[in-house]
Amino acid sequence: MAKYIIKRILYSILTIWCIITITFFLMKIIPGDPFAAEKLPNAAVKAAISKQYGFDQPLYIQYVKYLGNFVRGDFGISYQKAGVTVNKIIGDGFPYSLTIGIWASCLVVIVGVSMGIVSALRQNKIADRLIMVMSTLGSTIPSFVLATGFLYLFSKTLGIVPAFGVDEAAGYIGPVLVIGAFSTAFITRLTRTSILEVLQQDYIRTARSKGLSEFRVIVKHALRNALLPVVTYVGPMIASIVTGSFVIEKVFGIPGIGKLFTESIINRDYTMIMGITTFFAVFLVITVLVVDVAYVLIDPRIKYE
Amino acid sequence: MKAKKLASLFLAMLLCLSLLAGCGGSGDGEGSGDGDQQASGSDGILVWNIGTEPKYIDPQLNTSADGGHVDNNLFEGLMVDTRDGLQYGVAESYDISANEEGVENTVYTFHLREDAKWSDGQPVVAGDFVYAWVRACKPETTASSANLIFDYVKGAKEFYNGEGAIEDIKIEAVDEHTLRVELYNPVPYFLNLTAFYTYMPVREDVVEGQVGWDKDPATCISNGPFKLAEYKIGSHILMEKNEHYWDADNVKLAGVKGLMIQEATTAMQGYEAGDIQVNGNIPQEDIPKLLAEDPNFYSDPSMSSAFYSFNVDVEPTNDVNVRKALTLAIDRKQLVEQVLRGGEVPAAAYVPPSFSLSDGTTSFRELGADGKAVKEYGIDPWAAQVDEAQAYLAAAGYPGGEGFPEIELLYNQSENDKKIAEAIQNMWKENLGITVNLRSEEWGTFISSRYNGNFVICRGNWGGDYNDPMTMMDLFSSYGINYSQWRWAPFADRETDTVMNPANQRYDELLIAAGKTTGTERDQLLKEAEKLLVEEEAVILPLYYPTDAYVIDGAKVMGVDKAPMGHWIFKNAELID
Repeated sequence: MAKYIIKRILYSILTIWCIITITFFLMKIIPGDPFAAEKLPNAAVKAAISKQYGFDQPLYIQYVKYLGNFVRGDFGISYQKAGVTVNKIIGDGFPYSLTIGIWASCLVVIVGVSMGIVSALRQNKIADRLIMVMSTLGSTIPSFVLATGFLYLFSKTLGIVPAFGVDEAAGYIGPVLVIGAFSTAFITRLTRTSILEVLQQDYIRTARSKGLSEFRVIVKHALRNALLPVVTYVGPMIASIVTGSFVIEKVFGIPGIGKLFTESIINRDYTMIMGITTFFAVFLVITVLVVDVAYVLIDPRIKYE
Repeated sequence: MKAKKLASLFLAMLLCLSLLAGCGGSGDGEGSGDGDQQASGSDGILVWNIGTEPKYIDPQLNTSADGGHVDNNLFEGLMVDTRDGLQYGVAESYDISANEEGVENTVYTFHLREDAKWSDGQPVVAGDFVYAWVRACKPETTASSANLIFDYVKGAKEFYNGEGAIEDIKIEAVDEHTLRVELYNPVPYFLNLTAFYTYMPVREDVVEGQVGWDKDPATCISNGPFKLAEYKIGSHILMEKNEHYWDADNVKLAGVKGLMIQEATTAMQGYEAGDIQVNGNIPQEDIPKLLAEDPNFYSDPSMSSAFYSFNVDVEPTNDVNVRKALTLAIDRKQLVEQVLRGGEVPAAAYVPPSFSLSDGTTSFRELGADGKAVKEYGIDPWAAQVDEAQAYLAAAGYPGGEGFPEIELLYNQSENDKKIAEAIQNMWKENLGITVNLRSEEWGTFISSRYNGNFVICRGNWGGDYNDPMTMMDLFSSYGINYSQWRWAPFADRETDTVMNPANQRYDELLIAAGKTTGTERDQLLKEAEKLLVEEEAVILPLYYPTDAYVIDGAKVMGVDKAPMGHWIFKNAELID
């Protein structure tokens, strides 16, 4: 077990290093520079700024320096949010994205799995069809439509949630529902398909023929096997949800980290691009690692080797 | 057993995550109670939407309007520019005299008010201005707007270019409350400049060696009506009344909360819900309705100009006849009334009508009896001149558009610019029979392409920094950014521009001559330069004069002002109970 975990950790480190390296060089290849503004600084100012941020050094030196700083946990100073460290920017914004992400993850798992079970057990009945329609809507309507629709109805028309921000607890409702919509729909379908498949298995027939109650058959035999694919999906999903969403944070006016990713690329804020990408990567790799280890613990058919 | 393991693992994961959230949450709580987050007027705090988070608040480093709004309320220059004219700021009087060579209007002596104080109670002294202005001129400060000082203050340019000594910059603190500045030439708008944020004072002990001092309430010591009380990255800025401000008795607000809501629709919903009292981030599509229905909606002429730049170095736009044909084939009336619909004014020239002639009151633009733009430089702002356009195209060797190569129009990804580009593409197709392809680039790439002259025609837009037409005209000098690559001599900053255009030399000379004169003579020189730019050489294609659209909730707040350059002034604002 320990050997397996160590091996996985080493793979994870390798993955993160690859992501850092690829992002670093790709970012420098794209046209444009951090000085992109309607009012461009002149050559002297550009040179001074480049020196300040180390952009004037050869690429490989910048790269090696970045790796060194990364190991020390120093992401550098943002160019666009001048004078503020990337660590502080992520540290300040992450709690918002994380809080929304956790609530959304709970919603996704609880609602998604429950609806999936109901749907499977009531296959082709009204409840199933209704849930399937809802899950199709949830996975096809773009999040900005859901978000603006939500605000129009619950903020502008009914006035029960604030128009922006998460200063009030009610402010979390919209972002949580909208960010969780797609995954809830996906997990509903995944659970449904998975249960329907498991219910065809021989051991279910055996359990039933033993005279077990339908409840025991479902909960004890069907569900725990049917949920394995769901667990696989949930890990990366949590990583993706808690690191925020550009669209949702913009529409709901939330100072989270989801929008930093897109903004930093638009602004060619090199330190921020690297910082946020690396942060996302580390977060994702850790979640995947946790899921992989969990998977082995849950399913004895998967070996440590 | 397996189900239990699964459940416990899931719960463990959730627990870890909520612990993480807990850690973050406690940090988040620092310095910002939930109470002030709710601020919406009841506690004397005005809520305003800045829109984009300012890159800098540091007055010397800031170059953007969003940072300018904050600077105008946290700091105060020698003078303050308002829509009622220039007013005294830290200066309580000034004298203008001749320099040693006897050139009149080149030496300014400012007498500072003795009760001007920083937000920590220390007096504002002449030395603070000297420090700030010299600081801007040091290349290592990386002040992009340094030219607004070194173009005027004697000795500063030489120092900036590494050819002069710091002692030779003619800014001097005669005593604690007297500041003496000598200029290269008489500058009719120098007092306006002293109201601009690059000229605002900062204190050496606050700034020196402190990275990010301007975004930390503990270190951001300012001298304006407000002081920085809280800075939440990506969320908001809270400015509180500065009790040490010399005119604090007249500052009614307890503070101003500046939100950073970029999404215009969200900001508008906040305004409609009564949570935001002042908002300048208006969705373009809402403007026609707001114009018609909301008495709190304002659409002021802005100090900016929207145009297309021709690349004068590449075919076929290196032919002035082609440029004229393209310029005249556009129906600007249709553009503003049917495409933009935000109250914009069709343009026949470059400098917007919001700028004045040297008398300070008459608009720089000729306006009709109805106050509307009139035909200038041969361009009719209200109709396409199809026949003339076709004649120019024929003169260029493309009668009826025959043989005209397919060219590209470059713009940055934005809904509005796309609509404009599509409309103009159609007009050119219909009126000239030519095919223009649209190329839309993401912001960073777009700026890079425009800088390097990698386009045939591209979107341009320029907003003034200070209240004088020179701030517009400078752009197309050989030493300006000059999108059109219209230079007569190589410029160190634009090594990619190697094709030279002799006519630009005359443009430079006219601007230099205008810089040395005043009154109607200066106005004439500037107009002559503009004629060269827009008519004779047709380097740019004027489109429209943009507007500054905003809402102020008149039921909740009064006394909110704007500076002529569009910056918010909250000093005189008060909330209505």
